[in-house]
Amino acid sequence: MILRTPSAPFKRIDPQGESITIETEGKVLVLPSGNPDILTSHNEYTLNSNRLSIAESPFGGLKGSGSPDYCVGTVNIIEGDGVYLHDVNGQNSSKTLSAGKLKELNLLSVDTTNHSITEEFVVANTAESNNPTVISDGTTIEGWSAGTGALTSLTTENGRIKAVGRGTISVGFKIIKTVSLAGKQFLTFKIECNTTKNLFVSIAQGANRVEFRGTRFPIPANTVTSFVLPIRAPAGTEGLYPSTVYGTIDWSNDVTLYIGTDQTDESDITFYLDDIHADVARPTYIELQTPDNLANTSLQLYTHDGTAYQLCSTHSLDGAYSQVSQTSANCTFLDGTKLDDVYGTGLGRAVFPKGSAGATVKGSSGSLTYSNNLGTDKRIGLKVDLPPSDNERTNFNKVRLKLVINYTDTVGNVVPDLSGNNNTGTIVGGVVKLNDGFRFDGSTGYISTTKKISVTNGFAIGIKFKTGATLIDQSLFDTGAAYTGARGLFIYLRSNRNIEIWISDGTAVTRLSITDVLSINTEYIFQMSWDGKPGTNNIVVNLNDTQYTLSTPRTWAGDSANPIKLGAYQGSSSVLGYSNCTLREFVYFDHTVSIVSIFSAVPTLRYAPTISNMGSTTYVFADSTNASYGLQNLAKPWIALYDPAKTEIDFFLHTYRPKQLEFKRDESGTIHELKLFPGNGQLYHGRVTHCNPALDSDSNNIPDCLEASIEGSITKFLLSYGMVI
Amino acid sequence: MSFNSVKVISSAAVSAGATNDPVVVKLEDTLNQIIIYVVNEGDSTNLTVNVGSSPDGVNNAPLQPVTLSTALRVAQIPVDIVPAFLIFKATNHDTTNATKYSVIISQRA
Repeated sequence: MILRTPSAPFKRIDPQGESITIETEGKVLVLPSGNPDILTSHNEYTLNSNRLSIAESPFGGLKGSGSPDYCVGTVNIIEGDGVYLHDVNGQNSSKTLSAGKLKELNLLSVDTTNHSITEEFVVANTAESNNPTVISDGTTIEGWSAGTGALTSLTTENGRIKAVGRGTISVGFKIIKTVSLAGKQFLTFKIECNTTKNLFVSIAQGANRVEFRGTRFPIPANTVTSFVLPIRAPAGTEGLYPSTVYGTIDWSNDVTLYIGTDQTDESDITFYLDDIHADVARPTYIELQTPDNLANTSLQLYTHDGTAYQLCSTHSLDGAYSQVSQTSANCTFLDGTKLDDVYGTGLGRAVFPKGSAGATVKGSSGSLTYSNNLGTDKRIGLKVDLPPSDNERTNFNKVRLKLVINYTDTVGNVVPDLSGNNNTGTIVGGVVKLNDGFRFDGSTGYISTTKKISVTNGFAIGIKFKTGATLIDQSLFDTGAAYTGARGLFIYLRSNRNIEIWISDGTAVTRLSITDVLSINTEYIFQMSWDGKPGTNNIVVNLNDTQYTLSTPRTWAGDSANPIKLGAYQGSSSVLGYSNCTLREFVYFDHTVSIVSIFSAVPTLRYAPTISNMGSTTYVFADSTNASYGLQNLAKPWIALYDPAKTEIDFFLHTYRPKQLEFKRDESGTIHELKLFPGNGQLYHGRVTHCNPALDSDSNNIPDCLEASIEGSITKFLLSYGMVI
Repeated sequence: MSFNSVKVISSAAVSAGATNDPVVVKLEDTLNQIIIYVVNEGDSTNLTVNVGSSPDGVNNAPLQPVTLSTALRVAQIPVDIVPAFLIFKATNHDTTNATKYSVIISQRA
């Protein structure tokens, strides 16, 4: 509901049920806490320069240190012992990276034209073991024996295995033990040598073996060096890939483990081994807070291979999970190793759809229960399996992610029929809602409907569109898979600048052309009216006020074979492609209409952009002392809402401290909805006029309009009121 | 019944950085609703007028403050339950510019 101007001093408002939802227009919500470090995003220190400006992020956030802001973009590790988030430079290690901190580091941006949020961060496993099976803790040599080369002595020293001997050509100097690596993905150990050498590890089973050796595995002299070796990976020449893989090992059976050095030695060398483990990955679950409504293509997920980002996959996450596309081999750890190679194709990762705090959602693999953190209500989830750390020697234990999250408005992924006939369309794939149109991405996006066109009384269509930066062969409108002969109409924009109109009667197709008319980045108004009968010059087309008459021998009875589809071809064939146009407006009439009045007549169906609170995001507070969103920190009996550019400040006076509170903020930074819960008490609405809500005479970040010591402030005005806590 | 307007404070001067003594205004008994208009007529960039209600012209319960400037010169305060007295106290936070203010009450029985 919209509240009327209240009478002075304030007017009681009565909730319907336990709460009241109010339409608002403010930009700043004030929850006075009396402490600049408590409720920092919402307290009376509204001029705190650590708060993100609307230009930086309309969804809010806090730079600097302090309690997390839990604003849109905040990323949080839900599960993953020893795993931390940090920035792309390895700094700011934390379990939670706030939106404001990411923005401060230029790792978060909000694009309010394309309605997307882009952010980057690194997920790193600092644990040197995940769930290890100990092969040797270094306190005994039991089970170990001479392997290759000449073993002089094998003992323990200070809790490590000490091997003395020398290597021989090709096989080096190694000791061996029979071990089980069943169910394991990694071999980890520490090795120190009294001279600079290269590692030689061989895991053998009969004639089959996996080897790690050579200059990619250096052991600096007298330096304890940790190795984490992906034993299941195929052979490679970079990173930690095995040097050689012969045959196929049955990992459910025992293998012979050779560990040592790989060169020939003229005299004895000494190496020490410790903490030899067979280990698995650390499943790490992450959540990332988002606006309420995600676009149909909700997430583009990139990983960095140490050189550049690669697009791994795109996902639809607004409802039930679905994958849009995936290039599995592009998904890498930060050292460039492919997750496919370590875990198997498509494994070691998952993406989870949108949910609220505490919700359990089913994702691409398995399910995830989101944290109970409040603040921004909605979130999406990721899972990545991380190898143990090799003490930061390599980046094998890290993934560097870039996420592009596409959001939409409160209307969501539907296109309302503005004719009032409820022929609602559905956005599929990459369609961006603009203020003046629907922009198709040229590869996945279109609008589907359930409305078929009928020739019973003839029909007319009008399409306002703007071509993209390139002219491609693209389907603008299709109803019948006319390409394959099903009855219907197909409007095809060609790269050769022609517009083709295909009409099929179910058995054959007539292709009509308007030639050499299209240009890039140009607005067009296409209007067509046809009486539905075969004939000569009885189809009238008007393109940007130039009229064409066309003829067809074809028609069909009743409805087209398929419903109207805008921006893509009906069939599964990709031959005709997707559109990269921006659709300004579309109208359809199930009868003929004068060609000059199509857009002013009353249509059967009409689509035009109707954006409502784009990016609307619900922020939820809790009845707790949480420093970010806990209402028990409320130090005054009121909350306030204002726009610094305006002069009216609304306040809501509670007689009982509220235990719940929610607001919604959109991509313009406008708090467009406030949900108040008076509990057992009363709720009053008042409004104070202040000429300059941004004025701060004493520069303490509390504006004069909220400053308790200043005449005319809300705080002073309401000083005598209290609340039951 | 339509509103009629009465100017109850006319161009009262407020010195720069000063607070005036309160001004008490007696309202007619028969009024059902009033709208108070407070006008900054001078050069103050920050003039607060605290409006209070009173049963006797002495005890003052805050009704609403308004803070005006040279850009925002007029504010209105609707009042549904009309008190016996209104008390106005002006504070000129602008330490450079003196000003004047007026109060007009639109009222209906």
